Amino acid sequence: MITCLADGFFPDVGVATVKLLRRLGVTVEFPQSQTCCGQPHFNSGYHDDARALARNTITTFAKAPLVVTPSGSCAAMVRLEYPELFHADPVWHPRAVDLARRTHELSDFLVNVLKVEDVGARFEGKATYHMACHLRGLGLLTEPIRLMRKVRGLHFVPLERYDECCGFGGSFAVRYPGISGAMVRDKAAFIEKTAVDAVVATDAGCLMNIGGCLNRQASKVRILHLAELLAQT
Amino acid sequence: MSNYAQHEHHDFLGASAQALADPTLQQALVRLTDTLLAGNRKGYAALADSSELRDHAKRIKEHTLAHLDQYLVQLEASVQRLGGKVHWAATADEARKIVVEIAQKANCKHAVKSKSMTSEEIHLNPALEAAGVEVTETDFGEFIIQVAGERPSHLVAPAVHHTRESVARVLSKHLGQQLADDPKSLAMTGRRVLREKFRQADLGITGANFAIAETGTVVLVTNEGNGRLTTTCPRVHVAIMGIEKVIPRFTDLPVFLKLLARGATGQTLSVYTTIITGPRQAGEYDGAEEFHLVLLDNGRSKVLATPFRESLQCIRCGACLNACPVYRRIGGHAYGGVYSGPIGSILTPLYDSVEENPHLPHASSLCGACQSACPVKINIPHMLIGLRELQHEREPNRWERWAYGLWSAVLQRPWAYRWALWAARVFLKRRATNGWIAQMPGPGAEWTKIRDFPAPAAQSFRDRWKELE
Amino acid sequence: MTAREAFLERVKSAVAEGNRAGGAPPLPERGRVGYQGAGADPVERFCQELIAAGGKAYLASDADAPLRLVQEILQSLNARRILLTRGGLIDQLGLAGMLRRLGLEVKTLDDLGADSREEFFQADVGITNVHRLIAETGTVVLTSRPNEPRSASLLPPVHICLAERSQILPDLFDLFDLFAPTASASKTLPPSCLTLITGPSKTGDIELKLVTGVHGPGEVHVILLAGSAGEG
Ligand code: SF4
Repeated sequence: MITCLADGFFPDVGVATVKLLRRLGVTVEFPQSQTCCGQPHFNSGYHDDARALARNTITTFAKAPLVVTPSGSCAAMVRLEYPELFHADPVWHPRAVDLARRTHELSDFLVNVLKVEDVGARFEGKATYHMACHLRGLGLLTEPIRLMRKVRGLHFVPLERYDECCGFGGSFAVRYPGISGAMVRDKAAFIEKTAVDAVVATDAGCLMNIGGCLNRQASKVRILHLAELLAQT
Repeated sequence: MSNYAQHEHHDFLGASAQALADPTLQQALVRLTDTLLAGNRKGYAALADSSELRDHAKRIKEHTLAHLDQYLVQLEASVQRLGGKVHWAATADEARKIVVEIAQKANCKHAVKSKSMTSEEIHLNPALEAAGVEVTETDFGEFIIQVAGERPSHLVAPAVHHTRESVARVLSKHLGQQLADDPKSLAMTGRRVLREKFRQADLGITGANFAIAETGTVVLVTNEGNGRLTTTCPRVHVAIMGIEKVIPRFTDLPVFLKLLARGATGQTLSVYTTIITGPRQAGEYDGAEEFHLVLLDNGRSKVLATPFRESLQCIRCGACLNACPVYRRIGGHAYGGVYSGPIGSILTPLYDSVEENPHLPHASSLCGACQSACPVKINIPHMLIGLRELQHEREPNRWERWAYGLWSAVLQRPWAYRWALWAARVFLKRRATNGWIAQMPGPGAEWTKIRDFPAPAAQSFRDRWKELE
Repeated sequence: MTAREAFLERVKSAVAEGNRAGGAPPLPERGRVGYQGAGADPVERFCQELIAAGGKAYLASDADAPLRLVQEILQSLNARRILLTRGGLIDQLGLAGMLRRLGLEVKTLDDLGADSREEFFQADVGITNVHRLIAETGTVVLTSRPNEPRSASLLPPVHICLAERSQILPDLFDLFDLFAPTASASKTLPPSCLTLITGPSKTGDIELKLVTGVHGPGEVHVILLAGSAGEG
């Protein structure tokens, strides 16, 4: 599952994910009927729309033995919210539960399903890590860091308040630019303090927010999706 | 200078902008929330199976709320057996009248109050004062803001928006003498002044952190000891509690005690836990002779019937405020209601008005930090989303409804989705430099006020999939 | 319908309406969840936790030690007016007499009339027995009773208490297991006031600067005797 943000804005993340998974011996399919998991609608309180999109996603991936997505946010939507969205629907509830069980965020899949931490990646330079909020919900508190620490050549620098939200939050960023702006500026300031070459995260939402702020401030720090980092050899 | 600190309001945008522009407040908020959040994490980490204990606490609350009528009846019987009196207050107004009447009947003139958000909620002080009863807040932070004529801005640190200088100013003016701005000496001045109040007091008013149905017990948790003083010195004690504060058994209490202080500050226990079961017994030297328990509904039963019932599990520890990246930037007064922070964003729309608090359910990035800090793991993000849904039902925003509907219609059709990606790419192409757009049109302009927006990729992933196959 | 009945009726129908299909969950049993215990050495754990909470702990190793320790604390404070509760170790040790012999102004409950609350406001130090101690949290547990007024551990700026090691309970849960709504051979009714004290009174209301003693005692001293008898 590519996620709509990565599809349109960060296709390299998808390409990197495919390369990485293939390198690890996984067969990758990409059903073209997938679009969006419905999280924006769900979060905004348009639950009927969200259910329609969820049904599309559930149908699209009905046959896949496992679904991997380079996004904590989409994984959280599928794993945590789909079953709840259909809790009163005798037909779709079991399907939702079934898909939830088969769906994994990338770092979850690598560390907890494939049981690898060293994926043979290489990165020359200093990098830090921002934890996407949805990983908290998924309980993936250490997986990405464990993967990063095994990357050759990578010098890991911890980030102050690494697990504080960057201020993205979908429509929140547009509705409350003042509050969201204060959050992302703080995030950018902490990142600058680490003096790294790249900041790594697992979600396109965080990366577009943090990256947009760093770019506005003409920062030299690059944004890098975990998949991109791990795909490099 | 506006009066967001003095009065409840519905101006979230104005109040939050003011807070963001106040560097002193920003500093105070960071100091408070950093310290307390670190305490919260340390507190849970030090408890071997804190997550299971939190689940257990949550189940007790779930069970109690699902049998609330029975437990209230049991609580009443237990209190009466001990010689206490139980009062049922359907509304804030009824609660105020009940307390005023108790004071008048017992001929009380001087009330001392231990920190109680429930009494804030019902605006008790003005009612008592109108009836000729002097009321003194005795939690030091509450005392400061009472003197300053303000509202609390945090569940457990009500005066966090004050500095040592402003406290010295406020207290100096109140006492008519020049006080140094040193926290220790200011607190000792507070002790002196409040001791006199305790000496005179004939009425003690408290909330209740918990009430135990099987024993008729009320429990007060404080760090200063004012809860003890308030229940020990005056001859009459009135405890006011929301009906959701009842728990079934005496042995359920330590489950919550183990979590409350750890969640709030990281202490293993707060300094004082005062567990009061009925009025003073024969032969005892001190303690209140008369004990009244006021059970307050004030909208709670309405919430009990809805999917927002989970909000009634709250034990008012303040952990969600400390964990919240929005609270830590705008502070408590911005939220407008009695309760602030993530839990306030749920309670204020539910109890005040969904229509008049349109921002509160949205002023959250749904990051979930609140839930992971909450001792009873309340799913605050879910309820915020639920409130957004409720808003759409009550006051549909036609334009927004249409936009989301169109968006969803596009997303349900892969060909339309593909077309939309293409259109966005073409439309935004001219605006981009080096992959970033500095100024977006439409609602995107709010985004680019602060940061750049990524340009859509020249080729979407689905188009590149062919090369990968 | 009375106001009370209407109130309860509202709650009752809200309960029914809000209970999700599948019914109401049962009251869960805790089992061992959350039980911390005190580790190998409850005395040490108690002292550590009390000190972490800002209190002071003393181990009295010989028969003279308790008095000596009390005396040292009082001297270091320059305390004059001492208030004592009755019964338990305080009586067993004959503390009142010993302190009087040192020339201190000692008030016991026997010296106080029913209306001498002022003595509590004026005292420099209150000395009490304890009901139990909790090792897990460094907590002193007091029960209200005719011999043990609540004010003695509350109004004076310094609180000293005497306890025996055998009064230490490992975990907070153990304390609550001692009480029940109906008394039995192993359990008693909760007292009118059960007070848990964990360190000195604290406030952080001004800029989070920790100040002790804003309302309750600013100092809490616990003297632990080696004895093994139960509470007094
Ligand atoms: S919602 Fe949870 S964290 Fe927030 S105040 Fe209530 S109990 Fe504490």
